Amino acid sequence: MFKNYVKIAFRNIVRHKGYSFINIFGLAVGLTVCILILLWVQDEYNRDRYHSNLDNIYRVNIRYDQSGQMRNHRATPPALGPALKDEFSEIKNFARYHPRRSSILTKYKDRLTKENFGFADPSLFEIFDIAFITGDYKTAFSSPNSVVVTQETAERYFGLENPIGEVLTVNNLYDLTVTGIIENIPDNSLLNEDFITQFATLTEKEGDKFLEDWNSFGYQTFVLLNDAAVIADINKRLYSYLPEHNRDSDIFLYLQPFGNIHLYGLNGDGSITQIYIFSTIAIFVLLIACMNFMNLSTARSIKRAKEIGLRKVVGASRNNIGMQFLGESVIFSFLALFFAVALTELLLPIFNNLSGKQLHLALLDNNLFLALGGLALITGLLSGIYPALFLSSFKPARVLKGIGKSGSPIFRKVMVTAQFVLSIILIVCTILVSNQLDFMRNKKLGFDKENIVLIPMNKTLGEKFDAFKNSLLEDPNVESVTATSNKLGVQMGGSADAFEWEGNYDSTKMLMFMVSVDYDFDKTFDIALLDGRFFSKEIISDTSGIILNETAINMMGIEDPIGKTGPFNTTIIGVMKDINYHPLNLKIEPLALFVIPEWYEFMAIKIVSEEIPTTLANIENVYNNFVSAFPYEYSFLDDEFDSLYRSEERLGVIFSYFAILGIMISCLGLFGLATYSAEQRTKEIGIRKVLGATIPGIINLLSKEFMLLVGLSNLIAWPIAYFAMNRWLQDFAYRVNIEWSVFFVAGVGTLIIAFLTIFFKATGAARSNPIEALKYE
Amino acid sequence: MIKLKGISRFYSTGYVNTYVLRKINLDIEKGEFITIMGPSGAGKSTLLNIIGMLDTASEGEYYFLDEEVHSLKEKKRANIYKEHIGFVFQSYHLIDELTVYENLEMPLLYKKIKSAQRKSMVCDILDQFQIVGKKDLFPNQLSGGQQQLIGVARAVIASPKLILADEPTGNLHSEQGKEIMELFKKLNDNGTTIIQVTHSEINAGYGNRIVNLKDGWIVD
Repeated sequence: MFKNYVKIAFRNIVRHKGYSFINIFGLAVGLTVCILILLWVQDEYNRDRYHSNLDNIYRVNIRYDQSGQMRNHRATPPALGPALKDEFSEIKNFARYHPRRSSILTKYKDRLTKENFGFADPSLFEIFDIAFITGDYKTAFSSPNSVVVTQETAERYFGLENPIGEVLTVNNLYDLTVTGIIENIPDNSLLNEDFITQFATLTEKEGDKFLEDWNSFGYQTFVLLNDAAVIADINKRLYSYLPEHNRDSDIFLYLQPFGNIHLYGLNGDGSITQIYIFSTIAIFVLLIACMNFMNLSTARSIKRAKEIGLRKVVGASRNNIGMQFLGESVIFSFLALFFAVALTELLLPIFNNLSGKQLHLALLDNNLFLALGGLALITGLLSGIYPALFLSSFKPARVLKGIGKSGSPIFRKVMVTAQFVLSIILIVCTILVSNQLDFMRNKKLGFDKENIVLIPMNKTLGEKFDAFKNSLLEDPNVESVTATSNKLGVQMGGSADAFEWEGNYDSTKMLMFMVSVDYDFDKTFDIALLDGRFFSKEIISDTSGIILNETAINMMGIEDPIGKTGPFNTTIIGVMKDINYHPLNLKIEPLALFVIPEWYEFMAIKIVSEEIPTTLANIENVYNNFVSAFPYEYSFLDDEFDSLYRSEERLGVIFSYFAILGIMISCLGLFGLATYSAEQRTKEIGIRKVLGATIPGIINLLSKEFMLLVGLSNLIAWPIAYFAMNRWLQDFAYRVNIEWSVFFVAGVGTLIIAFLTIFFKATGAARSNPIEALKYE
Repeated sequence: MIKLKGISRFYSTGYVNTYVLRKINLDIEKGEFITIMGPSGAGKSTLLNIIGMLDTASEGEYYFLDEEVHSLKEKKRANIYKEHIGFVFQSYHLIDELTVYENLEMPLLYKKIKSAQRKSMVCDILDQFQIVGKKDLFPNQLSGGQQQLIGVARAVIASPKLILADEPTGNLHSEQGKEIMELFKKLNDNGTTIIQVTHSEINAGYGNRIVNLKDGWIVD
């Protein structure tokens, strides 16, 4: 029986090539999208989940009130870990951790490179599964100034030589001895370091006691709980831990499962939203393909009606017929899966490029194999269930007489509408995502980010700062030079709370972001002051001066601020207009500028827009005259700014590709339906032509119904897309308005595409010789 | 074997019922060869379909082998005709995508007959109808007469008690038609009850009783 079904299914596929192509190709594209997204989701989900203690590893986060909104952060004081371990019997172990990504200058022999360094307690290796290839964590960290390297880094640095005992110079400050080799840490891990060293290394610079500090929030604290720990209980006690211990009255602690960190992030910035969005798109595209299948199978059911009637006459029950057609659709979907796997292999490099991942299709992996099989099975059942129910309901006496039905036209209309609704939603979303990206790229930030060259600070530059600055300014193409602790508009700065100012001596719940700047900062970034003046080199007291932004002044409620005592025992000398110094998904927060040269991280050089290459070459020359210990590197602030929105940009690009696929499959289905509609109406068209109908009249007749459906789809899709995008945009503090023109473009676009699709088919039918059509009557 | 009591069939169109069959009373004994005749639209095919349980009567009682067909559920009814009735159609109704062998095998599949037995039954019938050489051909590779031969073979493969034939020779030229009728005669001689619908007096001559229909009534 089964063999018979398979046989007839395959013979039908071969016999009706066009129909089979539309169905299999549509399903294959839908499945390909699903497989790509599945791989992507799998990669996102499995990140950092390989640790054997995973279920018991947590990170201690802080929560605080930021201008009336609770915000979360991962930075905790270094003294917290030991204190918690003493007090909470559930906490078996803790490790403090401080990553410095691409910012530690590492020198080995003549090579100077920036590396990822992690500073950590050795207990990190007890909590996490980071295996030692050579040495172990107990001996590796027995003395300060020791460092362990990953296998890959060891090969990069030392080749085949034994790295143990080699000495690296770090930031021109410390000499670190390699004492162990660890396994490579996955690229997508939170702990993705090339080097791990212990905090003891820092005591030389930071002093003996820096790990006992309760006020510097700059360390991540991981804890390992015992199996009996009840998270809710610990969280309850932790929440008020700091206030109860008279540390910070307004900073609260809680545990976040380690495996969830990248999924949920801290303030809704995890990848879970993207996982949902991408999964939704994948389901949309697959649904569109399934609907094609349902539509076409019922539309062409006339062709199968005789077979069904006959099978029933010779004894098939309704179940038999239903199973047969369900089986057929499953065969279709498995064939489609076969092509989808090939298509996925083909597209993976492109998708990897888009998503910035290294995904590959491990077909031999049992889980993936099962997942793909399951996916194809579900697809097959989903697309086959309606045709099966419909076809198996045929009454043999009627269909054998040639009174066939071709499925409810209502059902087909609903399906076409649903397909286009999904496609139009995707199109509207694509346009809005790209609008938002343009908006962020072009938004007036309140400062000038164009033509600003950033050079990372280093020890030498710090020592010869003024001379270097003056040398640069000799070039007429250099307009202005300054230094800052943050990349404006790109990086979050450090922050502090619990400060006081004149007129308010209560402890306050305000968090102030702090940026250290050099004189000429205002000139370089073209920053406007509302009141007072900017820092001046001539006025010595300005080193204890402070410039606050509008938001800070408003929140502090301070009147006539100039000359008053500001936070951190400073004198307020100026009020600046608000600028978007944080990425645009965040609102403008209180900001304070200081002149603290030790904090400088970057030189910022404003150059004129002409002769940029010459200017850059000149800057490099000047740099090399001053600095020999650190290699020259530079970047443009606007480039860094653009790269900030890369994840949104990816979202936009992936969206647009999938929207194109969705509309393509929908049109393929529309083409199939138009074909059947033209076939079914051959006689009608013939009669109409004999009676004098014109070709445009016939085209109109054939396309009108479909065009109405596409129009209706637009009306349904618009509000749905509007609400979805409105929600997405809520994540951005600064966002575009949703313009009606977006919907107009999507509407006209789909109508044109749909019309062209039907037009070719309709023209053919309208041009056919009516005599041919009527001959067989 | 078959007993029809006051069988009527009508279709509701708007406010009026259009009658196709009216108060048909008919007894058919086992081993009879009945011919139903009448002009177009007299209700011949409808009567055949009701007897074959592909259609249901609007009124009246229908007994098949003492079973009350008119009060049976559809599934039960399907089981009866599956078991006892073979159908032959004017336009053969073979499945184009299946070979002769597979077309013949199909009824046996739905009867859940085991593979080995199925094979021998199909081979027997191929042999009996002398079409062994055609078994791997598709229907469109055969002439009309050959296709109808397969159609009859398929109807009798499961040895039904009753064969219903709706103008079995309607699409055939006279020589082919004659062969098919001879075949029916032979089957009838072996004890199979046959009911055929035909316009042809010659074909009617093969049967032993004629039922004339006109405007839905049985006329003598």
